[in-house]
Amino acid sequence: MPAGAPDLQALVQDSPLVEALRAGDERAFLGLVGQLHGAMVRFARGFVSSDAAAEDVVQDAWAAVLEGIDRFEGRSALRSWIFGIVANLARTRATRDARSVPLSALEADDAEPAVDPSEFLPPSHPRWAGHWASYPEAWPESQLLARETLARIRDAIERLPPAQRSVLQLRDVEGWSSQEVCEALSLSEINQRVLLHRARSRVRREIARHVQRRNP
Amino acid sequence: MLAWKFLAPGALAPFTGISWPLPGEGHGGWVEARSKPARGVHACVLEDLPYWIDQELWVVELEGEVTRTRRQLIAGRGRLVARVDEWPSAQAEFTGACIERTRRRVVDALLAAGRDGDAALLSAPRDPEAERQTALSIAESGPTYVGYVADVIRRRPYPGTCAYMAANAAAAIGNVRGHDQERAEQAAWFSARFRLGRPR
Amino acid sequence: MSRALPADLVCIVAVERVTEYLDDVLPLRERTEFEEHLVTCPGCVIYLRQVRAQIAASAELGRPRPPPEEVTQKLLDMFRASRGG
Repeated sequence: MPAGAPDLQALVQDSPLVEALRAGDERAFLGLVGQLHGAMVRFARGFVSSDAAAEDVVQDAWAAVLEGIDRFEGRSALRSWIFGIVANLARTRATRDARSVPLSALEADDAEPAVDPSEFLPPSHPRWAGHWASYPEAWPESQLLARETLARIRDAIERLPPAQRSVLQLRDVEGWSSQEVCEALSLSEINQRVLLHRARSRVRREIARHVQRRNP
Repeated sequence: MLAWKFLAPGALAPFTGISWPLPGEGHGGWVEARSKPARGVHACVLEDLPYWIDQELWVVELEGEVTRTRRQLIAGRGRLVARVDEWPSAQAEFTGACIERTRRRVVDALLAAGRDGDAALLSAPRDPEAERQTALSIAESGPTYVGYVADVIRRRPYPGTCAYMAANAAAAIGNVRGHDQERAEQAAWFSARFRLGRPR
Repeated sequence: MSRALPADLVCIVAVERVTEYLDDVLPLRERTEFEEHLVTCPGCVIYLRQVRAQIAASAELGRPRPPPEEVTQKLLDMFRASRGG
C-alpha cells in the first residue's frame, strides 16, 4: 500500500457501519455513540475551557457527522473523520470563547529534551559524558496503576499544550494508530511523533516526581 | 546455518518480548520473520557475541535468506537448537576476565608512560572496592583511562555493561585497534569456555 | 570528553529515540544501534520499561464512557430526524 493510504482493514470494518448509519439503523448509531462519545468529550476538552463547552462541541459534532455521513467517502477511517470534525469545532469554539492562549500553547520552538539534562553526566566527565549519572529507579507496576497515580497522569495530560495533548490522548489513552491520528488531526507522521514524544516526556516527569515522593 | 543468540530468561527475545519455542526432540519450532523487510530473525556470529550479551545463550539454526549486517545476522526464519547451559552461572568468570584484561591494559599503559608508582599501586592485590577507590584516585590526577578499572569493577553485575566498559577502556588506550582487540578477546573467551567452535 | 567511540550511542541521545523505537520507525541501522546500546545500559533498559508502563497506565484512562441517558436520547432524536426527514 502506498504511504499514507488508509488502512484497508479499518475501511473494511467501517463500510458495513457506514451503510447501516445511512440506512437509519438506530442500534448501529447507538453502538457508535457508546463507543466514541466519551473519548470525543475527553478529546474536545483539550481545546475548550470547560466540561460543558466540551459536551456542546461533541453534540454539534454528532450533528455534523449525521449531516455529512451520506457524503463520507471513506478515504480515511470513520473515527478519524469524526474526530477531525470534533477538532475543528473545538478549535472554533475555543477561539470564539476568546480563551487567552496560554504560553504553553506556543509550541513553535519547543526543543525541550525528553529528560532533564542534569540526569546525565556532563560533557566534562572524563569517561561517560552523556550517560546516566545514576540509573533510573524501576517503577512498581502496582503503583503505576494505583488510583492516585492514574489521577496524576490524567492531570498531567490535561495540562499539556493542546497539540501535544490531542496526540497523546488519541495515541496512548485511546490507543489509536499513528496513521489514524495523523488523519484526524491533519498532521504529518513526523510532526505527530514529535508531539507524542514531547507529550510523553512531560507526563513522564510528572510520574517520576510522584513516584519519587512516594518512595523517597 | 548455525549461529548463536542471546535471549532473556525463559527464552524470551529481549527486545520484542516474543517467546521462542523450546527445543523438544533436537530443536524447537521455527520462528518466522515478520512481513516488513527489516524484520528478520536476529542472531549473531561468534565474533559479535559480546555485543548482545544476555542471560541465556543459545545455538540457533537459521534458514532462508541470511544477511550479515553490522554485528548481526538477519534470517527469514530460525529455531532454537540447544542452550549453552553453563553460561548463566559463568557470568562472574566472564566479567572477572574483563576486569583482569582491563587492569592489565591500564597497568601496561601506566608503565609505558613511566608512571611506575601508579602501576604498582594498581597491581597490588586488593579487594574490589579498595581497588576501585585506588583506580579513581589515580585517575583524578593521572590519566583518565585508569578510571575504567573502577567502572568495570562497579558494573560487574551487568555483564553486557562490563564488557562494553572494558572495550571502551581498550579504546581509550589503544583506539579502534584496542577496542577491536578487547572485543575479540571477549568473543574468544566464549569460544574457549564453552567450546563453541565454528558453526556448521 | 566522552571516550566512547564515535559510533556509540550515549544515553542522553538514546532517550530521544525511544518514541521512534516503540513506533518501530527507526531504520534498521538506528534500531540495531539502539538495541546494542540497551545491552550495555541497564539505565536505558529501565527507562524504556518506564515509558512502556506509562503507556499502559495511560490506556487505563481510556475506558469507554457511554453518555448520560438524556444525552443519548437527544442524539437518538437527532439521528431519527436526520434519517427520517
